[in-house]
Amino acid sequence: MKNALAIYGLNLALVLPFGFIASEIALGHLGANPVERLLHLSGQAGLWLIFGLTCLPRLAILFNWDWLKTWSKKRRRIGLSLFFYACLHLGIFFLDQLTELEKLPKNLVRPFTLSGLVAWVIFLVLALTSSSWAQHKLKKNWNRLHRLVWLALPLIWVHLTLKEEGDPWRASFWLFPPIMLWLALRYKTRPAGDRAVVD
Amino acid sequence: MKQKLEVTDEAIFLNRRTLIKGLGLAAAWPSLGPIELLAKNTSEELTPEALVTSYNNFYEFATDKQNPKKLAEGVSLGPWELEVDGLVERPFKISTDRLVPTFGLEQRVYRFRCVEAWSMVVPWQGVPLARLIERAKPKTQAKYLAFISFYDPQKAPGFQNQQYQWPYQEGLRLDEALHPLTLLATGLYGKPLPTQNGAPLRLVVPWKYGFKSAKSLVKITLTDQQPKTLWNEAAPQEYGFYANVNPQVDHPRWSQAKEKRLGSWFDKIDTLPFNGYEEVAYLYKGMDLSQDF
Repeated sequence: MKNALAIYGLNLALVLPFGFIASEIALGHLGANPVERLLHLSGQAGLWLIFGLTCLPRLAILFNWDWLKTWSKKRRRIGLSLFFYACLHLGIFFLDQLTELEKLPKNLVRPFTLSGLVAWVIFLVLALTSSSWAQHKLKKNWNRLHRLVWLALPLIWVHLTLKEEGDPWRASFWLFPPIMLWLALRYKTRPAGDRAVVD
Repeated sequence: MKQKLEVTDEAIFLNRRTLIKGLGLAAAWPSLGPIELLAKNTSEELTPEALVTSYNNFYEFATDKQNPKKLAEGVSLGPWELEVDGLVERPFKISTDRLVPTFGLEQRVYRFRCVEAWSMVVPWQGVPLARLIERAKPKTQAKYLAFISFYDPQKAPGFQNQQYQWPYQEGLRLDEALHPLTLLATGLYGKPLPTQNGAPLRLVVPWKYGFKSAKSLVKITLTDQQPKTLWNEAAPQEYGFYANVNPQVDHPRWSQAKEKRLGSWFDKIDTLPFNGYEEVAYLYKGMDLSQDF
């Protein structure tokens, strides 16, 4: 029962950003630059999801709370939701590019665009191989492949840093917690004698 | 046919007398206020006031464009004493609410092009900067003007951001500052400038990217050296001293060929050299504007 509640909560958290985006459109609240706002909102949703995705397993170990453990086990649907928001983000970007198609080749290879695009390709590959069938087929390689999500983090950091009002420090907010958690628990699970070797 | 642009015609550079005349007309034709009458004489649609006042780059408040309005709510800037000093015969101070009575009100409808590739069309009120400079009588050595914005961490949270060298500072060459298009704006849409748009007065240089049009000015100093400017100091490879609107010279991170008018979804329009104010081109004769961007 508690488990079911945690799953309801997770599902709600995953659709909430989409509900918010839809309501902002419906209510005409997107403001002076609607496309930019949609890009921000979909990007923001994706950021929270990759943040959750990378922090959850370690948070679950750290706190050992049931709902965190349930959420951590449901990472597939978090990842697929992340892919959905990433597609929304990229789709809006492409729609916006239709009015200057002649500039698209040049715009696509700008580090700002490229960093986001490569992150999206990673999400695409992970989404395509997210089924139990793929997991079964790929065996050990599945784990290796899905570690690619960690490569998306620095790409997103670059992407955030290069946008108009980009700020490396603010962008780091999304990066530090998952990396610190990863490092902290990496050491935690090792015997004390091992650490010197890693350093 | 030559595109009809800019600003308003000479006739609509209203002084106070013609503004009153405009008001009279508006009364006879109730659906048109003086601002709309003004706009009828320009070839471009005004950006709605609600958008002009809710989408602002004002890093003293916040780095995004929605929050300055929220953070500026209940915060009033000015009136204060504007100081004009430096290489001038007659330095002076004037209260910002005495500017219009002293120098005379002008109405100008200008395109405003942000370096981030969005733009708007704004009916400003203010005084031509040239009138203040003439009052101060520049010395012959004076070649540039430095514009200093307010610094008050009590009023705006953005000053905590250590990445930038506060206060905001901008600069113009003396001939640019004296150009009749250059305006010190005290209002928009017939009302005093809202805080988020740079109350109580700001620079408006319509042929340059928006960041040159410094907000909430407290001081103008005439110098013989090119002044430091905040954005040039923060990212010299991206923001030059001149910052003339130029569709040929891309920002390192994005294209400057087109722009999006506030309020439109996907539509983009071509960006024009000097933002369409080609009458200023003579100021840059002989300069390579891809180098002096």
